[in-house]
Order: sequence, then structure tokens, then C-alpha cells
Amino acid sequence: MWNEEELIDSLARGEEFALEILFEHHYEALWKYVLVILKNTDDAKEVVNETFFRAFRHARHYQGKGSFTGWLFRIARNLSIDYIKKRNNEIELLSDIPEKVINDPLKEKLFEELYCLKEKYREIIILKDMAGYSIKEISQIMGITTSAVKTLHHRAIKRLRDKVRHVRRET
Amino acid sequence: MNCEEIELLIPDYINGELSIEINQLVEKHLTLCSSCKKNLEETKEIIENIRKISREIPEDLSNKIFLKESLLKELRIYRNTSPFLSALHRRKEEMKERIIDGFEKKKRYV
Repeated sequence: MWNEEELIDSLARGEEFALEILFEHHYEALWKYVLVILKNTDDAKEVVNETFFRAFRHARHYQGKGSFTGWLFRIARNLSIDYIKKRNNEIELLSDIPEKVINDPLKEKLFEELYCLKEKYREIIILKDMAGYSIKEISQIMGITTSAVKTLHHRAIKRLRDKVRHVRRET
Repeated sequence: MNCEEIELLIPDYINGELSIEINQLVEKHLTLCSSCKKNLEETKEIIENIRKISREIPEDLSNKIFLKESLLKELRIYRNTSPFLSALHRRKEEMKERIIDGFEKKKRYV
């Protein structure tokens, strides 16, 4: 089993296996993270691609400066924020909502409410419950303390719970 | 423990991230408090459904393949343009060949 530090070292030496392992490990989570933040497949594609290019290009200067995961997500986060600013809120909603989500009233409402959450709440839900990162990893990604992560997550879940309560009653 | 404290601990309780001692305190409270028990059930349902949604979000496979290939291509260019790295890589390849040769020769003798 490789640890992240060894992989970054190998990547800096130009080893292809290190790039492949890091890429496979992070792609899916990063894709979901950016897609839910930007709500648009084309924009998400551009941001994800640019994130990986930047991270891998600078990996050799990066070594030993904290969590690579945190660094990768911070790049994605900053690029996403730039994208949102650039497009002046002219958001084209995600058109390819999965069919299984549309066919379930609770999931559909949750999906909708996830987009309506404040950015920091949405971000914490994506990282914790969708991408499965630990509290410690999220604190490195967002640059906040672990107790702040826990409080934000609690508030985000509470908001979602309040918003979907009536859907639960109807079903 | 009061209801407010329990509410903060519910996500960790669901994920099994609490210490045995705290876990027991939460469980004790939940047996006595119907409102917190309801909160627990609702939170569980929300987290489970968010995970389901996450699994159902389509992965853009064609972009993934394209991106991985592009990154590998860039890595090879970077490696080849750095004299130190290309020498390191050549040495590694030569060593690999020598090991394979040695192995083949051994096989022939056996």
C-alpha cells in the first residue's frame, strides 16, 4: 500500500504509476465535488481538468507541505469560485439528473435542496457524505478546524432535514 | 447529556466514530428521548439518501480517459525534457532489462 507522500515523491520523479494511482484515487470525488458546486457539466469538466493539470505540474514543488488531497481540492475550490464569478450567476442547471433520483420524491427534493444550500454547507455535504472524506481531511481541504467542520456538517444536515421533512410526511 | 449535545453527536454516532463511553451515553439518551430518536432516524435517512444520490451521479468516463491520457503525455514530456529525470529513467529501464535478462538466463540453465 502506497502512502500519499511516497506517491508525490514518485510523481516528482516522473513515475507514471504514481500519476495513475493518484488520479484514480481522486478523480471521482473531485468530479462530484466540482459538478455539484458548479451545477454544469461543461464547466465542471474544465475545472476538473485544469485542477489535475495544475496539481500534477506543481507536484515537484509541493512535497511535504501538508495533505495533497487538501491541496488538490483547494485548487478545485478556487477555480470553481472563479468560474462562478465569471459567469455572473447565469447558471444553467444540471440537465442530466440521474433517473433514479427523479423517480424518488425524497431524493429529488434532497438533490434540489443541496443546490439551494449556502456554499459552505453544500461543500461540507459533498466532501463528507458524497465523497467520503474524513473530518480531518475536510479540515485540511477547507482550511478550518475539525470542530468547525463538525459544526458546519451538523448545521448542513439539520437544514436539509428541515427542508425535506414535509416530503417524508407525504410519502 | 442534553438534546442539543446529542444532536451534535448524531452524525458521528451514525458513522460509528464515537468512543465507547460517549456512544453508551448517546444510546442511553436515545432510549429515553423520542424527539432525539426521531432526529436520529431522519438524519440517518438523509445521509443514506445523499450517499445514494452520490452513487447515481454519472461519472464522465470519456473525459476521465481523455484527461488521464493527457496527463500521462504531459508527464512523459516533462520527464524527457529534464536531463536529470531522463537519465534516472534510462538507468531504471536498463536495470529492469538486466534483471529480466538475468532471469531469462537462469531459466535456460534450469
